[in-house]
Amino acid sequence: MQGNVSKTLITALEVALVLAILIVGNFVAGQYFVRLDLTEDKEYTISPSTRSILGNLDDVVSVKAYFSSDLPPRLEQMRRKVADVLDEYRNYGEGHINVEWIDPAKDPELEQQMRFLGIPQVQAQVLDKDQLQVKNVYMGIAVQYGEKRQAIPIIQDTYTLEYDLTSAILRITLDEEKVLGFLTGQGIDLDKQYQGIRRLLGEQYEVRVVNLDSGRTSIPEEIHTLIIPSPEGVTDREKYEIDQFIMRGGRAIFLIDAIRLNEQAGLQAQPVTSGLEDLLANFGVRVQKAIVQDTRFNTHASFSNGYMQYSVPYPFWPKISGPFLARDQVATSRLESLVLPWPAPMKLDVPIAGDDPLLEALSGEDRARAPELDGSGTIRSIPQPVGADSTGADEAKEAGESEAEGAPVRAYILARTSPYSETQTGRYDLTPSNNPFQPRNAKIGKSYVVAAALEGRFNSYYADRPAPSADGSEAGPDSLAEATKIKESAETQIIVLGNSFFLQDSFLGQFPENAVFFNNAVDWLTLGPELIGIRSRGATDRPLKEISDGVKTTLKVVLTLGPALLVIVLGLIRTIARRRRRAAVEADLRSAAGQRA
Amino acid sequence: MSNVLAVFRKEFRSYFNSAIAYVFITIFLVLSIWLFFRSFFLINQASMRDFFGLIPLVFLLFVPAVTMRLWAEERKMGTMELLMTLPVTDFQVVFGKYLASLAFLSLTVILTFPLALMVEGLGNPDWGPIIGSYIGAMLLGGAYLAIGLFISSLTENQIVAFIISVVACFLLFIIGEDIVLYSIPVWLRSFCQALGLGAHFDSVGRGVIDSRDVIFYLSLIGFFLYLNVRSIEKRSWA
Repeated sequence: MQGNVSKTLITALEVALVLAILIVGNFVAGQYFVRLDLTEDKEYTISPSTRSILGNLDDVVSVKAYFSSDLPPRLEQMRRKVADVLDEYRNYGEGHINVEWIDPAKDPELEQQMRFLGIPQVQAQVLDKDQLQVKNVYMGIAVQYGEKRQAIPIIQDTYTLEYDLTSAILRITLDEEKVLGFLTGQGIDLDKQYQGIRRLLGEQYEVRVVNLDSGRTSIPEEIHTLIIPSPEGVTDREKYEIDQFIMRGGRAIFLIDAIRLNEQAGLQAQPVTSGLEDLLANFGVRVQKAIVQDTRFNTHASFSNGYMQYSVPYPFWPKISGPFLARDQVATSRLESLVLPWPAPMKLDVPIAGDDPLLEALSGEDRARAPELDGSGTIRSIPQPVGADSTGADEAKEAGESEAEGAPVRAYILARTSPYSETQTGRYDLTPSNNPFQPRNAKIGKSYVVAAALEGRFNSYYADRPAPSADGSEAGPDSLAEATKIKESAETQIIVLGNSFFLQDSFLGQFPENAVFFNNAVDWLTLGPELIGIRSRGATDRPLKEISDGVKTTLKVVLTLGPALLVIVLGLIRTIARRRRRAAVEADLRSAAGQRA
Repeated sequence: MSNVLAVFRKEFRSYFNSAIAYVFITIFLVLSIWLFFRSFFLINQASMRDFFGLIPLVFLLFVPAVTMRLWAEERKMGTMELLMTLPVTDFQVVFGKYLASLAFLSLTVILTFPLALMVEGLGNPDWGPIIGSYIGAMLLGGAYLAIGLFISSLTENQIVAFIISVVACFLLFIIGEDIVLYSIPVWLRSFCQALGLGAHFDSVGRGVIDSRDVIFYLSLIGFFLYLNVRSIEKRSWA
């Protein structure tokens, strides 16, 4: 008895020891791990862009993760994913990334500091002592490099974490501050209309006003990204300066309006000519002289008829959301919605790369009709040189403004209206009473592209044209300009929107998501090619082929029962074979017994 | 090794000598594939996520049925003493039996592969998560098997072995899920989360083979095989 007890005790001790070794072993293994990412897009691996940025760091960047320790389980899981990502950053940072986890609850002084950093408290539901309670938690990250710091206030998912983190690191480690330029000219009152967005962009960039003064001055060298809000009647020489700015590798955002509202006279609108039509057409975008009304996806607008204010759904303010925003582009990937008041549609004459939001959004019959619904006149294709047999290129030739052969410019559609849209041209009647909104009668129309990004090596509009002289007179070509003229750009990007209203103060206040969109777009252009490789990681849509219901049923039945039937048949064959063998053995035995008898 | 192989061959063959194995495989295939098809065309995505989402639960009933017999029958039939007197070590017997059950489970899982081929035929799936899920399913199934095998060695009643195995596997699965994590003290959470079988399965199923997940499953399998060796040792000198 005594022996048994001690033996049991020894066994128990041994088991406990083995268990302890395994737990410690797993804990240690948790610190040093390797991962093999089998996914097609390497969804769980840091992109080469981030790796090269981290590899080029020359001083320590400190990453502080402010996460409350008592997060609810769902958020706790996200915290672990964030930890995995940060671990990889640390590995690739080769000693230049310092990761620190901080639980703000432990130090009340921190709260002050975090308010300063811009990391807010978030409310989360937690179960505590059998009660659901709302708790204030933190889940933000701050990165710091020398004196400069950036914060990612709230981390809700890890889809865009890599982009957010890398762009923040890039921004604070850049030697010089990037300079944005706002182009002014006649009719653009920067102080009146774009104060909000300029203040917002000014938090991260140096924002300057660029006045071309009819072409007497050129765009300063240090301008990295030029924003061209609502151009009207741009002169030839100014157009030349813009062209050459892009040829020098500058980034530009064109906000082209089709109409100009007369503020005194309510909703009267006149068509407006930007003067940049042929320049943009040369790059591959033709902004139409029309405005889109989306009869299904739009916003309410308030109007006054002199006696009272009323608010109605207003088709001229399309609300672009969900599937109609590109999910694979950083500017729009996490955007809830974008409201573009009185937008102008555009046609793209270059091949479309990336996901086309419309094709993603449509299913079934609609998908087959997609080229028809697609207002761009292009087909979805992989990036390829224009001049190949794409319909877009043909159309471009027809337009007479074709890109030179072989320029690999490609377009990414950022936003389009829903297929329940139509355009209005010529006379603009924008009053809501004349455009009654009837959601039930929403007509299937066309989906129009209203925002696109173009990327590649652009050909100068002035490649075969003389450079216009500086003062706009007919004095003949400018020989100095002619000598320095660049005919083909380096790899660069431009963004074209058929709208500038969305950025004006009154709309920015009403639709704050518009600012998020614009900020993302500017970041994408300004922080450079390093960030382009980092796509946001959402769930990619992988739709099934269209098959008939009959095929579906057949597949269901065959695949559900087929493998099982196979098993049963094999089982029967084996049973029969075994029976035969047994019978044979028994017969053998019997005959042997008979002989003996 | 040849001893392990001999035990393996004997056990693996004996699965197919009884009708029960065929019934189990049939039920497993029909049930899991039917459940998968209920939403497959509705969701309209070329992915097997929903199929593998069900696997931890379907395995919960299937795997203990695979292992319940392995020791309990030996003890009930009195062949245990015979087995123990054969010139094989305890570990060789345990490991041979384990491999046999693993092979049986693999065979069953492989029979679901036509589904993957169908998904490939109907769309453009990302094979990373599919391969990862198959690996994850084998690791998870392997862990359930080790638990079930050990529990089978504790009793001579197959039904008892089955039920206790189901409960044990279920506990190890549920311990890392939200529903439990919400109701336990904070300091225990990360430990329970790391111990839960489901989270590791999900992690591998994303298409990422993480050394931590693999080491976790291998430790768990190793631990229960070790317990199994100890438990039959104990029997032999009891």
